[in-house]
Amino acid sequence: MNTETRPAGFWGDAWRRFRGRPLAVAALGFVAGLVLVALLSPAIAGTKPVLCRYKGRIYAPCLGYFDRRLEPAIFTKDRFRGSYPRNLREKDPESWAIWPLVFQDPYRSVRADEWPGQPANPARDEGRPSRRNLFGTDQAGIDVFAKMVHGTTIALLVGFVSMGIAGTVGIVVGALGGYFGGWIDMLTSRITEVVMCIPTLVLILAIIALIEKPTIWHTMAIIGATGWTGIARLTRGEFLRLRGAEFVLAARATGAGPLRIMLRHILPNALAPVLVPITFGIASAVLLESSLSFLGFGPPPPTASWGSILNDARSNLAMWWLVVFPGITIFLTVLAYNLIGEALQESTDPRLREARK
Amino acid sequence: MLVERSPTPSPPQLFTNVPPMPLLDIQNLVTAFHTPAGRVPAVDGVSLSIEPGKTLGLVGESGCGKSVTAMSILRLVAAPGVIESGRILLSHDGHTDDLVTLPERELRRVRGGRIGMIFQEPMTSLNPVFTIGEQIAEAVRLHRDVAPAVARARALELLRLVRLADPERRLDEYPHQFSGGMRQRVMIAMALACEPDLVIADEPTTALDVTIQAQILELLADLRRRLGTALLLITHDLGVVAETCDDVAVMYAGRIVEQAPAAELFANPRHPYTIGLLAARPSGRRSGPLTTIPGMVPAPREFPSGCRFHPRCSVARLPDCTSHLPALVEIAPGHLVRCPFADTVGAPRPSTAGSVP
Repeated sequence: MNTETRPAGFWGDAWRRFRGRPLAVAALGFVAGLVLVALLSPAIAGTKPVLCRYKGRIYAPCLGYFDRRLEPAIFTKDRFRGSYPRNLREKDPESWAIWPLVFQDPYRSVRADEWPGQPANPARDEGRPSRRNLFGTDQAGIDVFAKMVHGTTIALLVGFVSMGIAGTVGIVVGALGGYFGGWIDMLTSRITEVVMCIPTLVLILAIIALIEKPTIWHTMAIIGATGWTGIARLTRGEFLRLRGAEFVLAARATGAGPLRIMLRHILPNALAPVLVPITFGIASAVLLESSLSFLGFGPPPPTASWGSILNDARSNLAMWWLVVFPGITIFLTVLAYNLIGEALQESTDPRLREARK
Repeated sequence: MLVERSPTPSPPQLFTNVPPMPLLDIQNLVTAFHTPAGRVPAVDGVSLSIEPGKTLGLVGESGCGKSVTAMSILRLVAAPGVIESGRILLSHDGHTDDLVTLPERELRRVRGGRIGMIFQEPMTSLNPVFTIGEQIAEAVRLHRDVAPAVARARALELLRLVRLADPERRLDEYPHQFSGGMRQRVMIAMALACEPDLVIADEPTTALDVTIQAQILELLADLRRRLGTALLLITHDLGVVAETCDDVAVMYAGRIVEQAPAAELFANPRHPYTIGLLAARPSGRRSGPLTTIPGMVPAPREFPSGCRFHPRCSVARLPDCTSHLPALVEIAPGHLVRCPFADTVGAPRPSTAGSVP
């Protein structure tokens, strides 16, 4: 009999076992750190103030980094042209501003004296890591550290959005096939097999070639639209197994309809094995996007992504900082997701469930 | 085989003489499984009726079709089983529905709402990822439009009703924290959640040990007395039937072979099979070999012609017993037997265990 003061459900128990794996917890912390960096990216590195007071009102120009339309219109009207420090002081002596930690921009090179006393960014071979440019600068003199900080958003988005799409589609298709069986199952299985044959990388290249203005969202959508097949097969297996379970019969005897049984009764029991390929899928999505950017097929400039920094390095390998820093970060990120996925698999393994007691 | 029974005389009423409607009236039910190897009639012309507030025990060996009968009532028979013919009339508020032809949506209201069901295997009838409170509350909310808090209060009330110790704490615990007997009490609570008129209990105590069995049976009897719920108790244990049932029906190879009020059946069994069953019960007194019924229950695809029991019967006489199916005949008020030699039947040939005819 359980002697804990608080009853632990299935997930509480899985979390407890997950916590016992220090590497996985560290990986989870790393990913959490990445999320934090992505959310706070304009406050960590940027040339726009986090908060400023100008002509009597308070603005947050740094939001322009998330979306151009979020940049307050008044700064365009007053012809700041993206350069804040001097313009703020000159146009409104009573203005004040809170600045990001590092005064560098991910989209352009910083000019001389843009920030009082700061020289212009060095370019090409002179752009090695220094006090001002922690990770160095790229061919055009753009700071690599700023690029990496702002590229975190893309890296995370690619993983979560594409796997969000893949997970949703895969679970729905697998659940329908597994629960209803018959011709529905035959249809969904054949569709799954057809999609499985589509090579993701080639499809992305083709779509990018065809569309006029390809964005990162196109890439994410395609990764999601082709990556759901493994998840669908797993889900189908779980639903097939569980639809004959005694508690499903009991739920039917209580009057539950098919949708309710699928969503509320079977799905929570089927979820655990499905989360694992989703986690590994995030890792491979990140890797895929980095590969595409490295080859030059990533989001067009000025969007910053880790792989695009690697692309720069191809023409001049003497600039080792363009390889080392993004390379290590991509490696650590993919490693983190893999560690999490592995630990998740072991924590939720039903064969270990009996050993709990 | 329909048998016309004279309606029991009703006390003087204001209205014209209306015979009391049975709560559940199964008429000539035939449920067969269409397997690749052929058609298997698991239930072959069964007629039963249950009066409101009474208990009917359905007895028979494994494989005689009693569980399939119970599942047919709520149309929960698994494919490839199909209800081929017959009517199952459920009456309430003077209104009668045929459950065989009722549309699925309304049948779901009957399941749990008017008829509750308890299954044999308490260890697997509860969903492992939800708490007991959540599952009972769901049973309530499927049929009554109440707030979650109200449903939870009702769940607590039900746990008290089934005499579960420490109900407040138990509400938030998970099935794996309960023993078999406790889980069966929870199943009973779920079956009673919406105050059904009839509860079907499919071998509710088979998977429990004897002491717990006694408690559960006593609980069922007590609940019946207090709530006035009718009970269809399916079991292979004659002892259980003797203690709890008003009426008993004995099934063999898909057919009812004898039906009588409990006291009458035990005092005056008339069908050779019933007599064999009663004689086969081990009584503590005698030493020496146990009495058995010679032969084995026939496989459904190899049913003998005519009376299906005749190969094992001590009073069988050709050609009466093999040429046609004997009719169910009322030999005493309320006592029906399917055997032309019911009046002449005596004790079966005793044989030592393990002998083959």
